[in-house]
Amino acid sequence: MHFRDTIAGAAMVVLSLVLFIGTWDFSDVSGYMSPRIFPRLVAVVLFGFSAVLLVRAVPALVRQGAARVGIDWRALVVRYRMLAVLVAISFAYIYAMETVGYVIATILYIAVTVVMYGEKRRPVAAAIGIVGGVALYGLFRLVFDVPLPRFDLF
Amino acid sequence: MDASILDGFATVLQPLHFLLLVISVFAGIVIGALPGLSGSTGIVLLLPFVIGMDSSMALNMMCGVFCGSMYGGSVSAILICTPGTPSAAATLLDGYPMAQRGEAGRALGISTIASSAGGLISCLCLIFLAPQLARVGLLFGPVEYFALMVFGLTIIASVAGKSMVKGAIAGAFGLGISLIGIDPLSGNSRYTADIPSLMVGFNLLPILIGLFAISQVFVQLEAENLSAKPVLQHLSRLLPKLKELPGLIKVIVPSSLIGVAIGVIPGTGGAIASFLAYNEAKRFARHPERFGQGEPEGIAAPEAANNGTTGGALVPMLTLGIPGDVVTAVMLGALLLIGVRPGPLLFKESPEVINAVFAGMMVANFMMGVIGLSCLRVWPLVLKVPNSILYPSILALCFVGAYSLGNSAWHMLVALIFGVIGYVMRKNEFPAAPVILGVILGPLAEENLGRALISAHGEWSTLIHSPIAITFYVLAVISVAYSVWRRPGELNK
Repeated sequence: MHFRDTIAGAAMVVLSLVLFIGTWDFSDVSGYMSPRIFPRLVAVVLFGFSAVLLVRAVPALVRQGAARVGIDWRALVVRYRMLAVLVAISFAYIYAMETVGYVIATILYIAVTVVMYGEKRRPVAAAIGIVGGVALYGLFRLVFDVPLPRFDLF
Repeated sequence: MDASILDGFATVLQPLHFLLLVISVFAGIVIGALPGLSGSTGIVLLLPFVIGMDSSMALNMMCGVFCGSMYGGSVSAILICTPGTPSAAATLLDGYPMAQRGEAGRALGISTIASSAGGLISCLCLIFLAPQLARVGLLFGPVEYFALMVFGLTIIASVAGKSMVKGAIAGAFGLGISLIGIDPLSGNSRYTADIPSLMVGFNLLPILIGLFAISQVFVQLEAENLSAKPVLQHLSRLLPKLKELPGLIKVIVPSSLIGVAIGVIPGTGGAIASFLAYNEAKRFARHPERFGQGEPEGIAAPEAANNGTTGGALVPMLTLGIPGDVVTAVMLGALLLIGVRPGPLLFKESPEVINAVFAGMMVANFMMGVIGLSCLRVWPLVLKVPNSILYPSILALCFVGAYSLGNSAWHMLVALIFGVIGYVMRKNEFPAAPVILGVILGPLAEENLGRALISAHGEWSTLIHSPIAITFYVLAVISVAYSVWRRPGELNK
């Protein structure tokens, strides 16, 4: 956890600096309350607490022996492979929906994710995908009148 | 009874309104019963359905899910020794042993009656307390509101989870997100990187969906033990014996009041209330040694208390716009999305909404008892729903919900990105609720700070001239100090 906290703390310190430096671009036009004040306040608070996290995590990391805390990339890939695939499929789903329409994209998306969550029988996964996709389309398109994208041949 | 509350009942008992309320209570119980899903996830999943609805109907559906999920947590606590929500953790201490003795039906029956009674008592307290606090709220100007927002932001310390520092970082991250877009006071665009979609900032719905629902579904992908094994026994004798009732009532009433008192304090919640009530019930019990072995009072006390917090938590949320716990933080965001801005003005300008909520909470808690008792044999089946169906369905619902906000794939993309952020936060023990508090309260704090400074001609000392504002600053300091005291060694960890 100390290694993760160090990374998180460092990332948040960088973010706070980006927030602070970004305020230089804001024009100081408003009389009593400059648009820079609040973002700078937020940046300072974020920097302060992130620094506390770093100050706590780094010495503990050093005590552990920094050399032994190297990242095992192979283990990391194995552990997060499924999640990476799911996120990638979700991105693809969002972009495919505009092209192939909501129903087809959703049927495929649900069927694939059903398999990822442990369903081994492919026909069952396909059936769940079809039922889910059509039901959601019917509910949101017909009942809630949401203009979900349709498959357009032309 | 006040005539205006009777008007509320007339609204709530209209057939469609009543039907939707019953459905939301049922859905809340199911969501609460499923380990891994909580009331906040339930409200997020409900949002796509309630956007565009009449505000009192939408609010009542959220209250239905809130109350239902609080009770639903006890179902899995009793049947599979896994609390569906943190608030039901104390229930399993006696609920599961009773189920193991072959009395799962009796345990569920006691839990249902105690939850429903606790919820009803908390509603009465809500009806009495909320208008009084709202009257005080009407005295507030920008200075007082800014101080109130500062107090609201310190609640981050209380809902921070294990580490207060991580909670504070998450809150500041939320404040940072709220800065993106056009500054309402000066018209400057901030941190938009010239991306047109960012000019209006991030909408709250995709953030809620991402942080609370999608991230949870991602986490479940790693769960090795994907399916829970419910207690397989015939559920019989669902109602407690008549001679048991006086003993239960003696526990239910004080436990409910403990729940209300804890719920009113921002940043607390059902988990604290249920353990406190369990402890008190054990302290005053004739046979404290029986607690932990399937004692009926050991089930009634925590269940009455955690449902007692529902009405209590709504008091600061409805009157001041300050959430009482994680679920009401999400509910606050949801209310803003449907165009309801909680605060004292809501009581003055839309009393019909408030009365409908009061009546709706009463009906929801009563129906929770009816549904709970009549569906007791259904709950074990709910726990058998395979995760391979549950989580993909939630994921698809999340995306269509995000899309329906603006009929645009942009919101789906934002939900997915915040889903990944939420996942990373969960894995690194950063709580998600402070992010939402930051996103909601940040713009309000900035706006009121700006107004206060403009009306005082730029004089910053105006922020400490009001006694009400000073009271809120003091409460803010107490809130942080209490959180540090509650977790000794936190700052040195």
